[in-house]
Amino acid sequence: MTQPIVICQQATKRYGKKTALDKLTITIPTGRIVGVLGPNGCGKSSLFRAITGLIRVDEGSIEVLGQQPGWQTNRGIAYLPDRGRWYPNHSARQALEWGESLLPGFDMDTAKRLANFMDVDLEMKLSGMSRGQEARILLILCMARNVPLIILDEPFAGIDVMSREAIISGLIDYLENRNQSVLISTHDIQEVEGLFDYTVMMNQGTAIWSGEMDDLRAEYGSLHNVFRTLYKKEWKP
Amino acid sequence: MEKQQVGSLRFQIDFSQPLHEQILDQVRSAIAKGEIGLGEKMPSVRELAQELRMNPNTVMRAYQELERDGLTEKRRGQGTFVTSSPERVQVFRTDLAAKYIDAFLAQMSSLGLTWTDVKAYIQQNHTSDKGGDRS
Amino acid sequence: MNSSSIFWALVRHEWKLKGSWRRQNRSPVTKWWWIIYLSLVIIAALSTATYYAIHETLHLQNLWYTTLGFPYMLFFVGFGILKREWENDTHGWWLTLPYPRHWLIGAKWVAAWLRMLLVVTGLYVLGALYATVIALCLSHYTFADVSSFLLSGLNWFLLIVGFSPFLLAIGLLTAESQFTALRPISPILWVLFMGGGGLMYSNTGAWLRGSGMSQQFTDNQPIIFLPFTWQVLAFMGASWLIAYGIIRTCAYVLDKKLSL
Repeated sequence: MTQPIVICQQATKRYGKKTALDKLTITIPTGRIVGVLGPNGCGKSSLFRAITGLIRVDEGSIEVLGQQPGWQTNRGIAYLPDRGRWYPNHSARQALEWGESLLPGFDMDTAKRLANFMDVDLEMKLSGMSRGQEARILLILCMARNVPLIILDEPFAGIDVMSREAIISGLIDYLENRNQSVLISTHDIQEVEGLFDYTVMMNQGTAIWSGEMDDLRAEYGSLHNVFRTLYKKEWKP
Repeated sequence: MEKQQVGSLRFQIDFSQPLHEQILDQVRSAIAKGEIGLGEKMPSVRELAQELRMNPNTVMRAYQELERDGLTEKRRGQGTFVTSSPERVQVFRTDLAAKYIDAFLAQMSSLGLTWTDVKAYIQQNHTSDKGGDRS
Repeated sequence: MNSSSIFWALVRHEWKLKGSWRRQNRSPVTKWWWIIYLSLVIIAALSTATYYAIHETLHLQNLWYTTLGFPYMLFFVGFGILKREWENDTHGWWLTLPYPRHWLIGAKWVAAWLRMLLVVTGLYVLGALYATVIALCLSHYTFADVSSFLLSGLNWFLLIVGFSPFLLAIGLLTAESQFTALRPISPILWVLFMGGGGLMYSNTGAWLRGSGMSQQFTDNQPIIFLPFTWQVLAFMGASWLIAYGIIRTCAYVLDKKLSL
C-alpha cells in the first residue's frame, strides 16, 4: 500500500468563535479522484487552505505528500482557489506563460492541448472573457501540471453549462493514465458524481463519512440520497 | 436514468448503484447476447469514460476484470477487443447463467418457496416460451 | 530554473501587473473622463509655468515643488501592489506559489521600486526637456539656470529614491495588515503614517532646510551636488535597515498568520 496523499489528525481551526475545522481526522489514499462534499461552510475550503499552507491549524496535524504543509509542499500541488480569479490585464496566453515560468511541472504543450480541447482563445484578454471562459483557463493552469496532487475548490461554481461540460470533459480526458490524486470540492453534485471514486463527506468542520464511492453507493444509494440521509438536519424545512 | 449508446454497446447507468459492477455486468451481457460481436473492437477507456461522464479509473477497473475473465483481450497499440473465441463466450455464458440461477433459487428459498413450487410456476406461465433472447 | 531566475520572473510579473476587476466594471466613459481631466491639469500646469516664465518671474527650481507629494505616492504604490491581489481575488494563486514568502513580498517590493525609478527618471527627463526649451526660447533664462535646475532636481530625487524602500515597505505592511492577524494594528499604521507624514509636511520648510534642500528649491545661491548633512544620510541608512526588517516581518506574517 502506498503512502496516503493527505492525513489529518484531530485538525482544528477556529476563527474567533467560529470553528472551521473541528477535530477533523481523515486519511485520503493516493491516486484517486476524491469528492470532498458537503453544504456551504462545512469546512471544505478550510481543509484545502490548510493542505496548501495558506492557513495553519490551531490544534492537531495535517500531512500532505508525507510532509507538513508549507510553500515547499506546494511544489507538488496544483491548487485552484475557491472563488479565485485571474489578473484581468493578462491574455490567456500570458496566463499560461505565467504558469510556465512559475509553476513547477507545468507543461506548455499539455496546456495548449487542453486549451484547444476546451475552446479557449489564447489571444483573448481575461477582462473580455465570461466567467466560464476564465474558469477554463484557471483549470488548465492546474491540470497542465505534472504534480502528484491536484486540488480544485468549487471548480464549477457560477459558470455556464457549456463551460461545465468542457471542464468535465477536460478532466476525464486528462485523468486517464495518470497516477495523480485529485481532490474536488463541490456542493453541487449533478453530473460530476460519476467522476469520484472516493468521497469525503463533511459537515460542520468534521468528516461524517469517508471511503470508496462505490461503498457509499451500496450503502446509501445515489449522492442525492446520501445528502438526504447524512445531512438530515440541514434538510429540515 | 437514461440509455446511452457507445459504439455497439448500450449502457444504462444508475448512479445510486456501484458503477464498476454496472459497467461490468452490462458489457458482459452485451457480449453474451452478441450485441457486440466476436473480435469486435471495444470503445477505449477514455471514450467510454467521456460518454458515461465517469472516472476513467472505474472504467479501467471494469476493463481489467473483463480481460481477466477472458472475454476481452488487449492488443498492443490497437486497443481492447472482444474475444474471437465463441467457446469462451459460451463457457462464460453458461457460468453466468448458473450464477444467476443460483442467485434466483436462493432468493426463492428465502421467500420459503421450494423447487417444486418454482417448477410448477414456470411450467404454468412460461411453457410457450422456448427460451432465448428475452430481456 | 535556478532560484535567482525564479525571483526575477516574480519581479517581472509584478512589474507588468496592472488593472483590476473593479476598474474593469467601470464604464469606458469614466475612463475617458479620467484621461480628459488629467490632460487638463497637465496643460493648466504647463501653461501657468510658461506664463510666469514669459514674464520672467518663474524660478525654475520651483517646478520641483510639484513633486512634493511623491513620498505619499510611494506609500500608496506599495499599498496598492499588495492590495491588488485581494481586490482581484488572485491572492490564492499568489500565496500558493511554491516559493518562500519573502521572495513573494520581496518581488513586489523590488518591482515597486523599479517602477518608481522609471517614473522618477521619466519626470526628470521631461523636466530637463521643458527647462531646455524655456532656456532656448526665452533670453532671460541661461543654460546655467538649467544646470542648477537639473542639479537641484537630482538632489531631490536622490532623496526620494533613498527613502523609497522604507516608504514602499510601510505601504506593503499597511496593506498586508488588513488580511492577516495584524488587522488590529492596521488603524494604528494608518494614523502613524498619515499623521507622521502630515507633521512632516506642515514643517516642510524646516525639514527641507534641515536636509539642506530648501535653499536648492528657492534661493539663488549656487547649487551643489549632494548637499545633505550626515544626519540625513544616517537616517537614510537606518531606513534601509528598517525597511528590510519590515519586509521580513511581512513575509513571516504571510507565512504564519494569514487570516483567510
